[in-house]
Amino acid sequence: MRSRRPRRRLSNAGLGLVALAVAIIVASATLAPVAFAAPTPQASAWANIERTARGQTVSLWMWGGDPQGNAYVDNVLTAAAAKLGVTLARVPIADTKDALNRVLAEHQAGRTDGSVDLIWVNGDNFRTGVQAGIWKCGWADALPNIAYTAPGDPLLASDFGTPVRGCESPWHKAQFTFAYNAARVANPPTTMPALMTWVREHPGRFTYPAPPDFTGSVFMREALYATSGGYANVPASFTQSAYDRLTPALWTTLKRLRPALWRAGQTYPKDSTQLDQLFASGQVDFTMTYGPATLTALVAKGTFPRTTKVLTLKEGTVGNASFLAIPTTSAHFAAAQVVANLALSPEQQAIKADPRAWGQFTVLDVKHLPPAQAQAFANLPKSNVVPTYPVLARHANPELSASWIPKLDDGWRRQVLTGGE
Amino acid sequence: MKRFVLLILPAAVPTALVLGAAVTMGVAQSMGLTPVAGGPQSSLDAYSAVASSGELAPAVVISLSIALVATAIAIAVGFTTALAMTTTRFGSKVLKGLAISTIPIPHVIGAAAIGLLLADSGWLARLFGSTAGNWPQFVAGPWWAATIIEYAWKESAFIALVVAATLSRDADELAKTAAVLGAGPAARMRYVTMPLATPALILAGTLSFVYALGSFEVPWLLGRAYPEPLPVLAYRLFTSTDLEVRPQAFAVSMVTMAIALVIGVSALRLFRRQVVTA
Amino acid sequence: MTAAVDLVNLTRTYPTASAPALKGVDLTVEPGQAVAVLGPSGSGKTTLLRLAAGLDAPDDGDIRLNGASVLHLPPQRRGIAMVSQRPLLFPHMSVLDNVAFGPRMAGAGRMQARNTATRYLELVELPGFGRRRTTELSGGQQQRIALARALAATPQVLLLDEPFSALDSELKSQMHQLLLELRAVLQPTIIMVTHDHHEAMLLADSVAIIIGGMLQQHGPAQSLFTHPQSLAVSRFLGGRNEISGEMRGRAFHCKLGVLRLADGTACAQGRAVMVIRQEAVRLVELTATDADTRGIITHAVAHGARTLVEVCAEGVPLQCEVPPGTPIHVGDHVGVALPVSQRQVLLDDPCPAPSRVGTPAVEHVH
Repeated sequence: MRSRRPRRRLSNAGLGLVALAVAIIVASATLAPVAFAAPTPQASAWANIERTARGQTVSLWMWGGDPQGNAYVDNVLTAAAAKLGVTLARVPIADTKDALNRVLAEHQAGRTDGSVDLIWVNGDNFRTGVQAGIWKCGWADALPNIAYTAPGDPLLASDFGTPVRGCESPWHKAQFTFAYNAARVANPPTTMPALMTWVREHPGRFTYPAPPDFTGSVFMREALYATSGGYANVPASFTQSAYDRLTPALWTTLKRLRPALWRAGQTYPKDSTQLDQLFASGQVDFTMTYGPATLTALVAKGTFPRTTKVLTLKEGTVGNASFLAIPTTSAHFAAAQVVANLALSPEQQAIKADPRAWGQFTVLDVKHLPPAQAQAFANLPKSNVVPTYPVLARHANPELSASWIPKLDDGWRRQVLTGGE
Repeated sequence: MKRFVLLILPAAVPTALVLGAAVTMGVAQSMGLTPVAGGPQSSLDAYSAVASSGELAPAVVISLSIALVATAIAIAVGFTTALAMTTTRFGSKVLKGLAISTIPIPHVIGAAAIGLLLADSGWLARLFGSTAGNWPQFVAGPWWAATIIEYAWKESAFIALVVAATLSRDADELAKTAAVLGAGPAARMRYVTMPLATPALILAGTLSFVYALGSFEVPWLLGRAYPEPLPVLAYRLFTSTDLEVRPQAFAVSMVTMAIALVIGVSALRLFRRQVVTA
Repeated sequence: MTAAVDLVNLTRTYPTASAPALKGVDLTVEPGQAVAVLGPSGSGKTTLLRLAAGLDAPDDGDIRLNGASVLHLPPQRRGIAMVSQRPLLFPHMSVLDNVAFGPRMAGAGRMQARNTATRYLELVELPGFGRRRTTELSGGQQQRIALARALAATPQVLLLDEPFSALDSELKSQMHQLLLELRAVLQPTIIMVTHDHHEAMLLADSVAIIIGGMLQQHGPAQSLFTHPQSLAVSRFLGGRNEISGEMRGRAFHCKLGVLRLADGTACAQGRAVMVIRQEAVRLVELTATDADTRGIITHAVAHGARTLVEVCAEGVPLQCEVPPGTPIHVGDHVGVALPVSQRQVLLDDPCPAPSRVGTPAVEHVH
């Protein structure tokens, strides 16, 4: 999976909270379906799906590098699914591409009883799956709980520029965020160009993961927006002419940044985990993440310094949503839909939004939820480290189309990683 | 001879099948015969694309260098350890136990452990009170030190056990026989112990060289972003979201396999010559 | 190519063993002489050779060649070669290079060493085998090459550690013949460990017996058989007759009566055991004048070509070996002659002899 970037161990306190959440869920899950039991044709179709789903096992393949996310799925979501007669089995993977490759291989082999029923996915991986025709489509729009999302929410209608078309059901929203150590950065920059200036003035104290790592790739897009004079100047869909026009300035900037990076830009962290380690051990003063909600727990646990602060940029940062997709090779379509619908329910979304449980921003339109469900979101704890999602997403920049990403990653390798001055 | 063939059949047939299927698939995919999207089309485009990208040559150089240095260290350490194993009580008990306990550790775990040990903020750096910046760049450094150390450590245990099994007690007895016939320590090493160990050293060394050449996880975990060793390059191309470059991943794998084959065959010839002249 | 060997008070205890492998062994071998070391398994014979060769170091004692200690010298500088039970040929070398190894190590050039090796191959009667691989040879051929290799190193002393024990009897006697011929030509000083009495007597000038890490007796083979200096030696050499009794004056009193001893033996008194080789005991007519006692035949079993006969005389079992063709019937009454010159009396309790410090534990009695 990509669009989060949470990490690190769940504290004991967190586990306790998860247990508490389980209790809440067990109570509410039995009540939840009642609220929607309006007898419409759609509802009876859904009832059929729920009936078919009973007794099926769903393999949810998801990036396993975030213990909090793993604990949430294992302790909360799985228990709620069991109430609906569905066994949820989480398959941890090192990279969402692994699940995609598995499905591609099974698809090539013509299997219909594949090992993957549900994948946490977005962006270029989703687009790759669309290209290869490995997603079941149209089902996500028919989920009962999709009604709680804001109609026409651009983040949910298009996934990095690829139209969603009911081929995946929304799960989390994310906002790309820089964090810094306030003890070492007295006057934090407030724009991307100012950040670059800071980097050059403080050699060795900043770096970013090497694209095609997801986080490094996002950083590069932020830099592209900055060197292009704002996201409005970068067309969302890839064109060669836009690439040729806009990227030279990006490469020049990143190359000039290189000598001032950690280890003089001779190498880069492999992924955001390594960057976080560098930040945690005080070797760099900035880190970056697409899952800022986890910062609270990391600071509370002492992994990150207490002086960790979120850096809000005047021009805003990119945001996206991540989804659950069902491959065509799945033999448990009905149960996979039931799990996707459950994951989208206000109860699950509220628990999941609690930083002590997982801390993933909701995809629902909280302002228009029924009061009972809205209250759960209002009760979410406040963080000293991370502002609320609305604050973070105030000047949210749209993501570029997924077709840009491999081109930019490739360009970075050629121009910045291996290229000369 | 016939009986020998029958005896190895149960092992050889599945191996040949699995290997044959994998290689066939690899060749087919590298030649664009089984694309994920679009129709099959036979071509060597993937090979020329990966060759002209300027990434293949540095990958070959860095992969060969890592494998060569790691294997050389592993042979030196492994051979010395094997001698200690076969000639001393300490060696036969403690060293053998250490080597045997090293074997089942997967390389990926070994790599993670080496990473924790040698990283800038790792155990050793803390133990020596090193502050950021002045600790040697073992992990992700320009000399691939952590990668080489991991291979050398794991493979030296392997080589030590293989060579010790070959030398067993006889080598010690033969060395003593040579001593009684007037051979000093250097002559015993040169004329008796080394020649006895050489065939096993060639075989075990080749295996560990080829392993270091083709393994992905160690350089991926402990290496640097550029240049990429062959398996890391292949993996990156394989997991690229651009399905068009997937055949290139297999092309890189096929090149890796070809190099490993050439090395394997030359080692076998060297081995035969050793045995014949022995 | 020959030297006097003196092993002085050699003592060695292995770290893991409770009892010493060797305890104060003194053994002297004159130049060109061959001594066979006999003893039961685990008695320390091989340890003795390993210490002499320098493959192991004694805890105490000294090893001297021509009077000079070689204890501080590593094996390769002692001038002592060794052939083991296993040939231990170098598997990565041709037969010729195996034999040429010693000369090479001594500094000869490759060609010169090979020429020398060729001569030794002829000496062990394997000319033309030089280019073969060692694995192509039979066990006996391998052992001959091992012998040639040891001899080609021109050692002052040759150690043989049961070199022929793995060979069948025909090969073994060929090897014995070969070794005798080599001794005649090269005259090396030889210390040879064996557990085969016949081999020891055939090949060696003298025999040393080691039991429990201690040298029991060293002397000409014949004297060991007829005049063992302890019951242990007697039993080890297969002596079967032990008659309990008492020394009074110059005579041995036992159930068989009073047995006289040969003249000129020192006199010790007290409880004692008389031993006499079964080969020396003779069956005679009941009425014969040389019959020392009479008894009844209780057992008769074939012992090679000869027959081992047990006679019960006055309640004492006596065993004798009789030549082939002697008519023997169990239950017959016979006379038994115990030749005076073959009688050997060993005291149960060694009598202290203050005049001779270090007197052996047993005394000769006539």
